[in-house]
Amino acid sequence: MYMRLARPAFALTGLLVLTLVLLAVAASSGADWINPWHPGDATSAAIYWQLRLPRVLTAFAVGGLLAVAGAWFQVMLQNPLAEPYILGVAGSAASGAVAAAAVFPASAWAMPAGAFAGASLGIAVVGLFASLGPARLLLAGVVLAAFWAAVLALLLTLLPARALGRAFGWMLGDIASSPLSPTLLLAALAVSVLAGLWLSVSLDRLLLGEIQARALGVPVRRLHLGLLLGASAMTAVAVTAAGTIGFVGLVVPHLVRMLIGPMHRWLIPGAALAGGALLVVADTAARTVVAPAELPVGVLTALLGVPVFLFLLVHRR
Amino acid sequence: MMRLWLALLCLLAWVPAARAEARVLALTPAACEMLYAIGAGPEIVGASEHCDYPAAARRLPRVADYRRLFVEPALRLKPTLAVTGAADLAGLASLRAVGVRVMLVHPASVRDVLDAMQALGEATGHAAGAGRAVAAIRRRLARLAAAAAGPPMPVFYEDWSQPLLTEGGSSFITDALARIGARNVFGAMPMETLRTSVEEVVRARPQAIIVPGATPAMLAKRRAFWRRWLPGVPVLSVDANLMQRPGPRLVDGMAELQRRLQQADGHVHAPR
Amino acid sequence: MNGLAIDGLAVQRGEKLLIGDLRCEATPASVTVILGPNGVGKSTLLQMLAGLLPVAGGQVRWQGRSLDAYARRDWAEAVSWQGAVEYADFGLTVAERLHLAAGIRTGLEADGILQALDVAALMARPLAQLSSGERQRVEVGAAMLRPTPVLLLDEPTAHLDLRHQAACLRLMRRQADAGRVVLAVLHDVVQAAAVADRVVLLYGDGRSEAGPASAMLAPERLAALYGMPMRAIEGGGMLPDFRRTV
Repeated sequence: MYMRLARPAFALTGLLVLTLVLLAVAASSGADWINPWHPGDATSAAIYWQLRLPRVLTAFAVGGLLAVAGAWFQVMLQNPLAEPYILGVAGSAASGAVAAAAVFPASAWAMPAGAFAGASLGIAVVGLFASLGPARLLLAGVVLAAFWAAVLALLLTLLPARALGRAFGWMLGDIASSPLSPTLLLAALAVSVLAGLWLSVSLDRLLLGEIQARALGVPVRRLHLGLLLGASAMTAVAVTAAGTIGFVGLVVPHLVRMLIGPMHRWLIPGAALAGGALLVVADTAARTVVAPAELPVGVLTALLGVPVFLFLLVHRR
Repeated sequence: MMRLWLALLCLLAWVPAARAEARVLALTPAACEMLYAIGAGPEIVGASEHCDYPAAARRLPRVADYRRLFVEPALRLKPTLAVTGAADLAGLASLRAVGVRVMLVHPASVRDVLDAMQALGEATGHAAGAGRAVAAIRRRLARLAAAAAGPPMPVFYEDWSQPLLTEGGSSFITDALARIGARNVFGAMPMETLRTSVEEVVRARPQAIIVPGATPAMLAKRRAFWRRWLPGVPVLSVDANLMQRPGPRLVDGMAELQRRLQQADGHVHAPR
Repeated sequence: MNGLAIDGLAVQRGEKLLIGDLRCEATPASVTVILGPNGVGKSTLLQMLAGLLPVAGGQVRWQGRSLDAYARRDWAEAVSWQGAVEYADFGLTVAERLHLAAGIRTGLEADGILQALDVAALMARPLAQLSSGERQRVEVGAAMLRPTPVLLLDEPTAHLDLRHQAACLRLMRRQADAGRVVLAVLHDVVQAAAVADRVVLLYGDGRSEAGPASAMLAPERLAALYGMPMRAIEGGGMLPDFRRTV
């Protein structure tokens, strides 16, 4: 299924360079090109440093968090189709956001706060089933996701029409209105990557299946719980910041495995970079393609992600 | 002779019958206000949950909200006509199935609002009343147009702040703004509502920002925000119940907004 | 005692007692083969010894210390276990799988194992593309590459063609000669005869017998074990006598 295209260290370095270039280009892109060192006027400088750069960094961090969470879920659930929302955390987050919007219709912070509360509740519920083991946990998660989708649908019928537009807008993803600062998000991403690197040997052994991993001395149950909570927390942070953006968590780990293999000491940082880069591209497209209007970024990740994913699927040998 | 009496009898039966036949469901607040304005108030048998003007409307039985029609209560009122703003309101099919006429009123301009009022007049047998109401509004629109001196003032109409939502060219608000001497900076966009970014608003260089329906606290917050990016640009509110409803009171909202814009701009014009 | 001592171990499946009160010893530099029909708990026994299942009934001691006294990770460092496993396809190559099992091992001994199993040629291939025989050889190789004092093999010759079965048996012997305690579940009595120093017979009704290979691999015992008539063949060993049953 996977063709290795490059030696991991080279590929990762290349990815890092590419990502940095992409970030710089994206931050300068917009209705007009702004060079941060020669901005032209105070307004352009302000736009660059206070609007565009934070937005690009937020997109990078959120994309990275979703991709790393996706990689963790995939190895934890022993399923290459796993992704951050598979256990229902997105559904519970969206339900929380919509409930908050219904109760506090005038507050702009209601939706992110509700999202975080909802995500935390979703994680707690899934955590109750953590001891079931990967296959049954997956099934429980899928069923829970359906439950939260029903709760969400119920809440949506109670919302007035104007708030409904806002709710859908939030659910489709919105990087510009992130209530969490880029610094906080980048710190969360850094912690996630470091944790992944620290666990990389155990994660690699988990690739051999639960029994083999245990035979090699990996404390599988504890690791599963840690992965579940950690990946869910990453997902909760990403969803609180930017709404439910899909496909990054599913497709990016596979893309990176294609490039540099499944060993986690390369995969985790690679996923963080690639996921971040993908979301930066999607967000930049979202705000330039129909300027001065904006598309919801979740729409673009799906439009970009689906063809890539199908291509991978077809080329699976 | 007999035929004459018969014809007279039919005529007498028809006139009250035309009136008695019209049992109207007002499924949006704007439709509700239009019906009262043209004198069709007595014909309304059921209304949306959000119909609150005039005061009499609050006593009407509730048969719908923004998302859907409450089918059973609606059907029990035996309506003959339903006026809605959204073609996809859930439950309309049930009304059509029993022969209720469904009128879609979704104005994309001020003129559409007036045409809708006239059409409602004809559908409910209040054509004359509609004509009078429309004429009165037209006179006020003319005064607003006269008071709108000079080149149109570019304005940004902020529906919501996170994400930043505004109205586009297909929205009646853009037309309403044009008629009071303002220009929606996003009026060229071919959609009804659109999402945009702070950067785009700054680029568009509006001379005023309108936040409809803002409480004093919200307005203060928005002022503080926009002061960073557009210092010196006034941030105003307008009553959302007037400005956001494509109905007879839209002209009230427009007048209020024009007054505030001109005050903020430093010009004071007395309407002729 | 220096080795693996099993003292009173029991295996139960539901209501049925498969193995009751098993007692045997496996010393370093020896090969102990476990024989028995299907479903008598051979794999379960091996998994208990590997620490994958809790030991029931009695005690297992390694070098005098009970298994309970070992931390999970420490015991995993002392035992290599090979069994039939399924895992999801994440694109691991053979080289990576071996690396995960044993770290990066170079040297004559490692190369010798990989050569003997014909795995050296498969190094760059993704695991998912291997045939069942190739997969089996990789698993056996992975277990043998780990430098642990105890080697547990669960049907290592399954799916292999004759040449590779022979290579596997040769390697088992060599591993034992190098000082390891080798315990293997085998399906084939002839293979057992070729490689075993000691044999454990599991009858599946709670009875078990353990002893030197020469004593255990007697026709009457094996006939009772498998419920099949057996006949001796030249060069030692026993074969099921299908002709007398058909």
